[in-house]
Amino acid sequence: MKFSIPRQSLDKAIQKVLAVVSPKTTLPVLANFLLEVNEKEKRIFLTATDLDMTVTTGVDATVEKGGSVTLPAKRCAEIVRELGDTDVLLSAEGEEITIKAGKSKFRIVGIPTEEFPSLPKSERASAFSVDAATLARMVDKVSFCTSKDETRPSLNGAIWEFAADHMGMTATDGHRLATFKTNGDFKALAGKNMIVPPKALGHAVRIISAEGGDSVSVSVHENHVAFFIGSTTINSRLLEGPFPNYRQVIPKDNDKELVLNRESLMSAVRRVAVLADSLTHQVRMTLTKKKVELVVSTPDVGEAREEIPGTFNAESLEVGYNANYLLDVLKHMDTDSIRFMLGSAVGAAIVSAVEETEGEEYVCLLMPLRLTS
Amino acid sequence: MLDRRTRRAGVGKTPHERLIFHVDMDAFFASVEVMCRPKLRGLPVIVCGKPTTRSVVAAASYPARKYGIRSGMSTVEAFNLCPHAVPVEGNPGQYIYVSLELLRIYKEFSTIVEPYSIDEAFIEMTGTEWTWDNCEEGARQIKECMRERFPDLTASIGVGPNKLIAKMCSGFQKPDGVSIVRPGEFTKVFGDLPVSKIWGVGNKTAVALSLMGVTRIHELAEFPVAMLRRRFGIVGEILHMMAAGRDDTPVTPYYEGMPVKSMGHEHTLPADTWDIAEAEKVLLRLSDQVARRMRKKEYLGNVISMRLRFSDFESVGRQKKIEFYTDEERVIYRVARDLMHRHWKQGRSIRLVGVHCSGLVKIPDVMQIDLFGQSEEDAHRKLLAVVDSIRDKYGEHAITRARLVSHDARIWGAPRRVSEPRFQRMSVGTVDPTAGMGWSPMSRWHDASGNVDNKPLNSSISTSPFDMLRWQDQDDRGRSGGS
Repeated sequence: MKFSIPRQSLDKAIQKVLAVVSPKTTLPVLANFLLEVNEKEKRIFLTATDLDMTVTTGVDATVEKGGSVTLPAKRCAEIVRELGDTDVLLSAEGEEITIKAGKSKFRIVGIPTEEFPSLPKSERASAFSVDAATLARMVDKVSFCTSKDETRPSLNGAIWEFAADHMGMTATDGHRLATFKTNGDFKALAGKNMIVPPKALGHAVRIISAEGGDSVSVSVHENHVAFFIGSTTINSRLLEGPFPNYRQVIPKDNDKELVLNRESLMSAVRRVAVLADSLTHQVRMTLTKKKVELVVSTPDVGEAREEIPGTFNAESLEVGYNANYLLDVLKHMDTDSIRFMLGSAVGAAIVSAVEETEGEEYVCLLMPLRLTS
Repeated sequence: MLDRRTRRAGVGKTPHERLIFHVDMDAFFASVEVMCRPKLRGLPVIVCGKPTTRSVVAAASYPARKYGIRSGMSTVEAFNLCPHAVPVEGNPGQYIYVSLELLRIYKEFSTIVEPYSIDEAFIEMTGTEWTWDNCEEGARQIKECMRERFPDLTASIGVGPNKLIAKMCSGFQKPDGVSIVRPGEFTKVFGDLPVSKIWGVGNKTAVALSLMGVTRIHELAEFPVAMLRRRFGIVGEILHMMAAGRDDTPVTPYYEGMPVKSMGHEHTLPADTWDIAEAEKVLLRLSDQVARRMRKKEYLGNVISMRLRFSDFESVGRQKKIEFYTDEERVIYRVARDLMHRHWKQGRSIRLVGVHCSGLVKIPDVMQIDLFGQSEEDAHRKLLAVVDSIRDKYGEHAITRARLVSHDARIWGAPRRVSEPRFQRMSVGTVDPTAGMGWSPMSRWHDASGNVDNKPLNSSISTSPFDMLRWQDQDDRGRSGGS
């Protein structure tokens, strides 16, 4: 195996796959990249995996001799980052890899390629195409709600669903829920759904911004999904369902409407939450016709109060939320003016923009804290 | 007695004027046993677990110590050293009673008493009638009061200007001694001793220090603090202070309440095992005990630690912080099991398994309401409440997980027979509140003779600790129309 490549191209390729390499791993080979050199295509392919997710990226190079080898990811990335802007010459003999650039020379010991886990096969031919910007937007809007509680494994991912005229993504951790729907022609996929881990979605968004390009090809298999973004492929294991029936918990008859300015609510919550209890992060909101009063009162810490204007169409109501959950939801709303639809002090609040973007539907659900007197 | 009563101590005094006593009972458990059974007096008594099980020496009387028996040693080893040693099964209730009585005695000398362990206490004598001039007499009087109340108990008392020095010198003249180290005498008395003699400095720190060329306490005190800080972080500064005999920590009276920092259980297996599944079962049982204790005391925790000791007595302890607070054994077990699998190497036989939960907070009075509300979470909480109430009423072993039935019998002793009246009252069968929840009343399975593990279990009784999830999933499958 022997090839040369401009340092910057190699560095870019490494950065695309480096995030997958976990710092602590039980299997030593998982700390390595798989480097495959294709003599015919004059390309090199870098692959990293954590067994749940595999990322492969290809880049053009001046190939003298093909072959494959695995090399320690972190060390290799550091070396390439520190090299001057010249061409890098990589060659391997057995498990020994030599990196030369200018007057620098490194010899690294790799692990035989056979020890690298076999990778799931995904065909680009069977993939469907999704607008890259829409996918990135959808992921950003919902993935913050995925659960980290391992006792509810199906909630550890976001469900991606398709119908004939729209696709949607939903995530929830049982305390809040975000669901995003966008219109389009998805007849071929109607009825399909899958639960995707947030790590894969987040990585896909990062690669979208790194690679550019308008569309992403996605191919769905029985238990994994593949994203083809430019020269990079992300393969991820899908989570096993069933995803809870979230439609059932979105209240239909919440009739109390609170409209307020997102920015002012967000900054007020940030201020009062400084004194919030470190476990519950409780913020108590008293809603009246013309204003909302935010109160945080924590024994042994202190009390904070703030009033912000808002319009509420019902009699006064007192409701408590976890400040962090509230801020998370507010951060992901785009518009200045937002609407809370409430039923009771112990029911879910539906948070949405007052003016929705054409062809899109974005709704968040926020569960309150059960307040004691 | 009144003349010994004290004034509120310590106010307005500078630290170097402090006068602290550290009382350390001599062979406490063994002495209490001898006190209760005078015929054991003068015999090599070892206090340990059930003689039929494999256990360790919790305490050895002074006659037993002459043979080299030390607490922490396995009983087998102890009997090898002294075949005629008298094993006595420990009686924690008795020790707690004596320990509380002793605290009452100390409180006659000062209002500020900190119980440090069941057989040790710090007494803040600053500001009382006892001063550096008559402190030896004070210590003698404490011992005398103790002897009046419990004739067989003796204590060694260390007197120092702070807790560190008092603690370090109480071991000087054991048993039944009084050691005094006055302000300014620390280096003279302790300077030439090895660093491992400092309270809290263990073998690993001592080795790390010896690699830096520091072996004696005075060398540590003279060592540049900046280098210690670089090597040990903040602990480096503390080490440097301790080596100079400086310590400002106050004596915390127990009635001010000391916050609970962690809850945990450890268990030495009846026989070392290579089988990780066996260790898993012990871990599950311990997680269950820890979670039960946390629920009883109304605590939630978010740091879970696991400890393994192997047959060569090497230990490994690892912890993980989780994203949320819990008091449920399924969470504690799952995290601890992952840690165990990660840090156990195949072929190493396990001697001890332990699990702890820390990062404790009191259960808040506001609760986050769940979106999928009453289904999974509430069902599980209800189940836990039922299990807790059964245990409150019928005892800790009245109900256990099906997976642990035969295991509990082996490790924790056989479950009680069905014929025992208190179990006959429990409805087993049609109105069993826990049917199908992965829990089984012990009586139900005990009745089925033979090895329960080998019998096919009713499909509704699961052997997995995370059954609740599977049922929830099945429920969801039934209800789900959304996905």
